[in-house]
Amino acid sequence: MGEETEPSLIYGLELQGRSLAPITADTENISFMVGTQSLKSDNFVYIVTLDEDTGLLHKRILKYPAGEVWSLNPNPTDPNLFLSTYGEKSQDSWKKKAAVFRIPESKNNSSNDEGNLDSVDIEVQLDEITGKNEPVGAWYQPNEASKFCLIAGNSVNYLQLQESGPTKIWEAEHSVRGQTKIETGAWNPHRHCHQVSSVSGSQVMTWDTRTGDKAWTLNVASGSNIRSMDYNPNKQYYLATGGDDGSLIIWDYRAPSEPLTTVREHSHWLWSVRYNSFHDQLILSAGSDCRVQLHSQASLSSEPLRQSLEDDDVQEKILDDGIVQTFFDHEDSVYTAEWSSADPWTFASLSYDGRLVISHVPRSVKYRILNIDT
Amino acid sequence: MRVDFKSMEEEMDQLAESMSSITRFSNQISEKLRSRRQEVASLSATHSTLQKLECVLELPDRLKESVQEEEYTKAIHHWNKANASLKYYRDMPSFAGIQEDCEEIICLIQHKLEQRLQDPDVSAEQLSESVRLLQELGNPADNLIQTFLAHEAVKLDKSLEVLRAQVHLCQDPTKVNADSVVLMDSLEFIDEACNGFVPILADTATLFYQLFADHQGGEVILNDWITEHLEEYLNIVKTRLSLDKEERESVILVRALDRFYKKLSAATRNLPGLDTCQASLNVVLAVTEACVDATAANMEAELRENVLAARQAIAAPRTRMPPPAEGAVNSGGGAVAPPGAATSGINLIEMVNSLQDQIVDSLKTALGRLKMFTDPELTFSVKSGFRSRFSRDLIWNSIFFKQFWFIRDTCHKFTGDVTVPPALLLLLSRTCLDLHVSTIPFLATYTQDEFGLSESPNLSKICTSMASTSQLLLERYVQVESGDLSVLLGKSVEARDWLSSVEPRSVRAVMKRIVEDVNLIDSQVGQLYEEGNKKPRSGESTRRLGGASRARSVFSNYGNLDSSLATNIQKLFSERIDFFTPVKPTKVSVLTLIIKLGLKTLLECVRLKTFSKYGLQQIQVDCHYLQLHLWKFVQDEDVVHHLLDEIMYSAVLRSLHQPPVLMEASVVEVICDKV
Repeated sequence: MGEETEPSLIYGLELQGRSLAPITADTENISFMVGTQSLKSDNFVYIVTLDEDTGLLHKRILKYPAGEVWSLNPNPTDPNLFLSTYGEKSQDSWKKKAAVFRIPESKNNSSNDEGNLDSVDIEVQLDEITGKNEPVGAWYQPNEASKFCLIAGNSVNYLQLQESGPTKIWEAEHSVRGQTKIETGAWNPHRHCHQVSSVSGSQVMTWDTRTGDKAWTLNVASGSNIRSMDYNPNKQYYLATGGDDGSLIIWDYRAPSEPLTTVREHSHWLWSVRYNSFHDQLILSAGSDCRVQLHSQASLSSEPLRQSLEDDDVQEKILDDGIVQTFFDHEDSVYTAEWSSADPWTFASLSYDGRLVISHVPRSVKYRILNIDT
Repeated sequence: MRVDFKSMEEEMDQLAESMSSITRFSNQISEKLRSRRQEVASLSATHSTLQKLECVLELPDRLKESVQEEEYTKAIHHWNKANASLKYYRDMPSFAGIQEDCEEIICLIQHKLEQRLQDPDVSAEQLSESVRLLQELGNPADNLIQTFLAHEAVKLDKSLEVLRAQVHLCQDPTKVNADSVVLMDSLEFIDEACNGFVPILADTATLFYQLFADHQGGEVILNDWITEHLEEYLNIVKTRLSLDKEERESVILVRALDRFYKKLSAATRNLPGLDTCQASLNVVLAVTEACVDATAANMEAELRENVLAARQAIAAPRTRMPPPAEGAVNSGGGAVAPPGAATSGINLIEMVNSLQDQIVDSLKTALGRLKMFTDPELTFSVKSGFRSRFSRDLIWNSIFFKQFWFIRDTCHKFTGDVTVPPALLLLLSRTCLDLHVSTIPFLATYTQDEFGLSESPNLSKICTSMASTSQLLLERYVQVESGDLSVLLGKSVEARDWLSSVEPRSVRAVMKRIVEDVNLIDSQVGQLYEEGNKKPRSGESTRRLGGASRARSVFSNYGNLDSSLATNIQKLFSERIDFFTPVKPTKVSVLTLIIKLGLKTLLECVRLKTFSKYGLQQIQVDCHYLQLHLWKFVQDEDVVHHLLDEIMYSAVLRSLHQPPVLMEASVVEVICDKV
């Protein structure tokens, strides 16, 4: 498949980075938000848009004066708002915080000069919510932008943003065998998003947002830490996790004792796993072995078979399971890899050294999924 | 002279005259006697008729008498003689009466004879007499055959019942006391089986041919009948002999099989149209197969036990205690139980050798046991039907390959087992490698020689599979050991507050633990795998003079250089570290991979933290310590340098104080030397 791959676009940030997110509210453009993470220099947020016609990257650089960016989560409806966690540094101390930020309207399109940059400002400070706990991340409820889940330390908070400020709807604690830090969280996009999950150690705990009660749990038998998880957007009950043993595991959470499949293709930690939101056969994984991998798990997808074009009675496989392609564009650990929210065939990955790579699903796979004869 | 002749002629004439007068007289006499003669003849005819009549009249009495004396042959003889005339004179009332009487008696005789046929205890002569007489009485042969065979079947069943009881007893020896039957061994059983059933069968057949020689289709009926019973018999024998699973019983078993085969073949050789050779050979094969299967099962059980024993030996706590104070992990390291301590004193190579020996021994023992079946003295062993099946199916497939596939499957299972001690993975990996490289081909040749087999088996599939299992186990070992190191390193970074560290005065205990563990892994792997190639070191002398000098220079530069420049320069000079290099079966390769993965984890953990000045310096000390101790284990020491550089560089990036303040290299060295 390699020969007819579209070349990846590589863009180097000035500083280290570990946060990358698709701007979900912008459904027109392939656009991502990237944050830098440096204790030494001023930090920035880049809004990177791929011009599909010219193949060029448009960048808008914004100052991020609050500190170093640890995570980004753009608002699902308003492209100018995003949730973020960041490290705030002073002379002798350093503290991780979380806030809602606002992107100012662009004054002038070509102002990427250092002195002239706009900066993102804190819209709502979430210090009071997190208290002494160190924020891990915050995620907007996909179907309701006024609500979000904030995870700090070992506590899971379900919050509502109102005129008066953030209100806590409920708070719960997720701790596994003395583990005091939740690793990550994820929304279940099914059933009106009334489930949100938190990951601690090797356990996924899912909460019912209507009550704040535990819904179900899932444990990785080997005890290997989970670093990332994602729900199948098109197939209820299915989710993927990735963790320290480099395995990508697909689960049906109704039968959590046995995984549906385990794919161990990364040789170090798997830091990011993402389902393609249009074609859930495709799963993206990235890890600290500097690799980004595009997997096909067609047999466990919402559409494993389809009507054959030639023969009405034959159901044919859309794709075989396995690695579609491994991308070797990075030279440092890749902490995030995200699908574009606008184009199902484009994704971005960011390695710690600040290398942002925009890549594409190989054409043959794309045509195969779209059922186009070439 | 003429006168003489004349007188002689006259005399002759006189003689002729007197002769003719004699003839005349004689004729006259015989004429007169003729009527008399006729009277005498009719008188004698009358006498014989009267005699016959008397006989007929006496017949009922005679018959009765014979019946009373059980001389049925005589009775039937008389009856047969009289029967014709009786039938002839049936119209005469007196004769009809006699016939009725006789028929009644004959009916009685027939009934008695039939009764005899029902009686199992009747002797062979009586039986054959009965059958013959019944035949004479005009009973249809088909019915008689059925009755006859049914009679014989009772005897056969009786002997089969004895054998069946033995089978039950053998299957469930607890019944020994309940019944008065004593359990026989195979040989006794076969004697019983051959002396009971076989002669009966042979006798029956002989008798049958005597009795029903002329009967059309009788042979077919007989053969069907024999086949039916023989089948049952063979089944019983097969079941009983297949129950002999104990190794020490093999000698007896083989002798029993031989005796069985010989006797059955001999006994039934005379029976035309019946081939028991194949049937009995099938029994021999079935029993042999059962014996082979039992042997294979034994071997499997043995292997399982041996592996379990090895596992227990590895998991068992050592008497040698781990170094107490130093080995203990301080608060920074978290309370992880030392995973290596338990496996320190184990002689792995000894265990591998003994496991190998056990595998070889167990196969040799099994083959030795089975060799008895091919003793040329045995009648069945020279049969081609036995030979080919025995060697191809049983020796190769049911023993040789089955055993090695079982070993392979057993080992393979451990690759998915998260609880298995890593040393066992290593041990099995080595075992599989040895099996693949030498043991399997050796044992294949051995087997061939032992049984004089010309056809050499195709070993490639099992060998390839064994090799890949060995590789998988080794990969799994790397995964588990590097995982353990990672947990140790990860916790040691995560659990510490790096922002409020005090000035480092020593290497953190967890780093010493890491080095200890790596040493342990090194000794473990070193026992089983050869060293492997190291990249030739560029400056042997530099290293000897001061191992840390190079590293120090790199570290101390971070503070001055622009960080992104530093990283770019660094990347120019160092090769990219590939975490995907497949592990090779050498010590250096295994160690390199484990250390690489462990250090990578340390790197990842460091990047998630923020460091104060002293926190950074602690990392500096730790890295230097690792640098001093880990380089010697790996293939290419640059890999360790590079990774430690990256860790150091990342810690610098995560340092709160910019530009970061590092510790004097000489102080770092002093601290590291203190250990």
